[in-house]
Amino acid sequence: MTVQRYALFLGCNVPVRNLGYELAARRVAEALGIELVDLPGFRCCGYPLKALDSYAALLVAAHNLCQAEAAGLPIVTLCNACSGTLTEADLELKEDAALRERVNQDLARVDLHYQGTTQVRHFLRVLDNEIGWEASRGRISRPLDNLHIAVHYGCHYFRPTRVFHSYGAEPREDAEAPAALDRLVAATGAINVSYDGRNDCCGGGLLGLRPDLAQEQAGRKVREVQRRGADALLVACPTCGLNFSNSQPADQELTILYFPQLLGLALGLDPDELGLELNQIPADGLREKLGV
Amino acid sequence: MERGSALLTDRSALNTIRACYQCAKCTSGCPVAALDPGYNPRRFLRLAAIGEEEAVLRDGKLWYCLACFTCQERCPEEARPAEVLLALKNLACERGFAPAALLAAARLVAADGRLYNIDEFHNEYREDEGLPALDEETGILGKLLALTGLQGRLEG
Repeated sequence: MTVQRYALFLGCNVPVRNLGYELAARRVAEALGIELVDLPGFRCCGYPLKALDSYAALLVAAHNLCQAEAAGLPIVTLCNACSGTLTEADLELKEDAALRERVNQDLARVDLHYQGTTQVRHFLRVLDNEIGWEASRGRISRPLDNLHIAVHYGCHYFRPTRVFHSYGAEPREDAEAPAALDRLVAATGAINVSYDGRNDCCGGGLLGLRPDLAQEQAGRKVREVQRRGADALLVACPTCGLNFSNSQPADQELTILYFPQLLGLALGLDPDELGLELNQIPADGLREKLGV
Repeated sequence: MERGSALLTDRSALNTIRACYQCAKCTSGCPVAALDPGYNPRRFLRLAAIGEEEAVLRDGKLWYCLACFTCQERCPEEARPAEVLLALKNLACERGFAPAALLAAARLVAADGRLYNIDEFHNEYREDEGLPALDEETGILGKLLALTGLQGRLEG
């Protein structure tokens, strides 16, 4: 198998608050022959600055793109906000020569120069497009056919489609019907549980300003998923995962799984190596059901 | 000519709102409007288009937009409502109306390079869990942000 190499962009949340997601991503990548390289120099993607000053966010994003360019590697992200911000920045800088010139003048002050030689991909998109589910399916040793899984994409995995489609992020996801996580669930053999509001935002964007509204939005989705009888909600973003985990009554918890954790279980990896015990909500019920 | 022309000329990111014919698809599909009926993105777009942007910039609810881009995907006129709201937030920040919570987060990014500072304690925890330690802070984002207009807002 050809080893594919990516620079692993962790962002802010994952390496501090979502270690289970990070562990599982690293184990699954290893199992599928994807080499994730840890580069020094990666910092915040820029997303938290965007609403305040889009240019400041772009400059910070460009700084990160430069780190990957220097290493000659494409970037893989685990966070939807990182994926969206870095993708949009790379697209704008590749398309707009005047903007690139302005950014490079500022980057020169810290001895960096953006060239436009890297690519940005969410880890889910790498599995979905570059590895492909057929390759994963051939390695499934623990079919999850007794699990009921609901999926939540999170906004910036696929919206705005204008950005992802222009950037050439394949496959092109439909704004009203993204399908990568559905393909993953199908590959693991689990039963996909549909529910109302599946493509809606988790509400995480309001955690800083109105945590009550953020949790009300997440809580609505969690209750709907529970009503439909899912064993777990599968997510592709640390902010979504944290918001769903922190928006539940303690006596009626819904397991929140990061997508590499589900895939890792299906690939037969040791559940203890997939960081399940590091998730905010224990996955004990799910493990019991699987007998692992 | 509508009164909002100066604003629309000065901020190219706001140009697309000329196409808005107030169908309200943005508000009807907005998850925040479903939580708080007082939040109305259609109204923000209209006010900005007719030159009443001051009312939008001073309205704290401008910042309730989640940037989920649902409105933008559904807009039949490609008015790019989510990008317009983002441009209005940027403008509100320039004018000194940014929420303290967002400025506080930006200060952390400028100071530590990340929203959550990585210290020795975190790195030991990561290594205990079998994860590599992350590199120490270099101050590079602080240097870059000092070159932008945001710096003044972070100091202010």
